[in-house]
Amino acid sequence: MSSELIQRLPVLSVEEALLAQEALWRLLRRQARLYALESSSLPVETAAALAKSICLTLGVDRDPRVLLSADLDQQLCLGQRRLTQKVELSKQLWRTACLTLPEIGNRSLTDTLRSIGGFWNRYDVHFFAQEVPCDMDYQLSQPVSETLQGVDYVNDWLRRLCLEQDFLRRFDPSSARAVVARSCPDYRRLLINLFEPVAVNALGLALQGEDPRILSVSPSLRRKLETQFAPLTEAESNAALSAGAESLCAGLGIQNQQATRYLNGLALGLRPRLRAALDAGTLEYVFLEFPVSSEIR
Amino acid sequence: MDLERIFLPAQLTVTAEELAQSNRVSRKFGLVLSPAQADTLARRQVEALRETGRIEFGGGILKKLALEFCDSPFIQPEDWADTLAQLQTIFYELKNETKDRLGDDDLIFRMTARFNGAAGGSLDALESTPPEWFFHPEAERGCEAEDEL
Repeated sequence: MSSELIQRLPVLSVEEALLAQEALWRLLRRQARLYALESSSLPVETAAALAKSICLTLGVDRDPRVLLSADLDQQLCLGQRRLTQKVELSKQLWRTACLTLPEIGNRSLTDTLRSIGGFWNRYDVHFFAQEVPCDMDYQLSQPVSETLQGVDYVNDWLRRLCLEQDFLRRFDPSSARAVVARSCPDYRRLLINLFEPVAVNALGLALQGEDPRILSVSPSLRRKLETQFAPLTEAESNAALSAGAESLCAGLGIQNQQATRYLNGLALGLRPRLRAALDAGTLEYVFLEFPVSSEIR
Repeated sequence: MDLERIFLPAQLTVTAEELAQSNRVSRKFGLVLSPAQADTLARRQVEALRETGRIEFGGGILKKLALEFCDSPFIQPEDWADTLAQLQTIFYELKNETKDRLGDDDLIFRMTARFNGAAGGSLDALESTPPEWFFHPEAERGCEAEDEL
């Protein structure tokens, strides 16, 4: 049993907590026997991982009372079925992610997608549902919550990636590549996020009522942004950035609520960076300019 | 560790009962555990599990060890309880060292072969046997056969 669970059990009465422990022990013993058919004992770490998997499958984190259910075995089967369905969903999300891969090469992105491609063959719904048996090195603009585990983590990661890639596909590939290259010349090999520099530039343009598809932020426009944000308080900056994200979505025809929330999150996350850059005297390294006619690698 | 704290009582009960049952067989070889010794062994099992970082899901391994080792010519009745206690610690250590790749029955069978064979009834020799030996015990038998020639 994980220590987190022990901390959650106090929502039960003492008597209920004992019954819950007993029920978990019974399930754990059964799972341990299934896992190691010819061994009556297991390393504590393995047993703890099995217990964690049971708790995740049953949703004990959300509701510890599930352990008091009379049909716990059936609950576990249902939980495993739910996880299996989520694995199917992860396959669909992965296919979408592969099909919408941006035309901006990045090794960590392709390596990560390749590794996720083997996830469902290695993922163990029955014994280690909390594990993520693949390498996910590519950095998302807004990372997945560490509270998510197993297939839930992978699916949320893929959902976010699909949102980012759908956004990138709305721009001319050479312009998007130019912004990314301006942000990080070695963008193909380094562990960087491709979405963020493009989204930030597009936001800058939207904030000034320009067409976000242009992507390049000219020095004159950048100075307008500096003038706009320099006097604003924290709350005013947040309001302006949120409004900018809204304009950006409208300008690009983005109606999907998840995407609008994601862009709003990006905009609000930009505020500390804006403040620091303004304090340093320029937004030159936040909103990037690139020569439109330049040859793009 | 939370797992140990929560599940300790259940392990204690089952082990003591199982040990009492093994007496029926070991008695034939003059090896008998008193209820107090059985209780002490059950407690020492908990220590052994803690020391080796393992959790028991059955009744423990003592009964199987008792049944397998009770006909060893190297074990004296007065040492029976202490020998069993040491054997179970060695067993759990070997489970870890062999990375659980051997089932309980297989490992006990090979421990017995080693103890009654090259180890000459020495628990120290059994304990210091390289883990690899337990995967290929036949290699030693081959060497012994060559020695006999």
